[in-house]
Amino acid sequence: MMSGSNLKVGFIQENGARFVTNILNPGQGTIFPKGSFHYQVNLDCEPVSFVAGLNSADPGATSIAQRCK
Amino acid sequence: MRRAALTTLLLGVILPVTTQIADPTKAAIIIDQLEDAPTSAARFNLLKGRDVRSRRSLIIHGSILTHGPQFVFDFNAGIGVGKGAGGNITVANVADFPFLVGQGMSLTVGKMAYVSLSLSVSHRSKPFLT
Repeated sequence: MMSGSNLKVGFIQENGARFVTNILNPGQGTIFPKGSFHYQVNLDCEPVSFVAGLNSADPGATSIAQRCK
Repeated sequence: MRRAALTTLLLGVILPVTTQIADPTKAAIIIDQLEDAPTSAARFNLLKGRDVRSRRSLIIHGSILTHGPQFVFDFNAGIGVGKGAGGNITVANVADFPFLVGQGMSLTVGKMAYVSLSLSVSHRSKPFLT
């Protein structure tokens, strides 16, 4: 469960779908639809921890921005 | 000042290289065995180390598949952790927690520092974040 501050979350689905953003407070939860690109931002001065369950044992992760070395 | 402290949390980019599987080949063999099990009960026995005693060296790696902890994933053990400047995320997926074979789910725990960003990411599945 979320603890600490709140999180600003958002996702965007396929072409034609609208961009969705929400603010999650401790005790709240949201779903990111399959294949959607999603993010979490902590804009507060406190740390946040969260838990995310995924309906696959091998969910993978495709980042749209890769780390530069 | 707060904006200046904006840090980034990298997720999927780092995950594959920071897992604590000593030998990925052995991990793959274990997961193959579990996936080939004809029944859920057979899979359970494989996890318990029964029926494969002669190949026991194959089913022991790290602290995951010894004794009884193969049924417990410790999010504090530093396994499956991806670290970024703004925090870290621990992923319990099938590679680090073979008990998940056939279960169709996984779990992540994220810790984000103040003013941090988790970069946009997409999965083959649906996260329920709470």
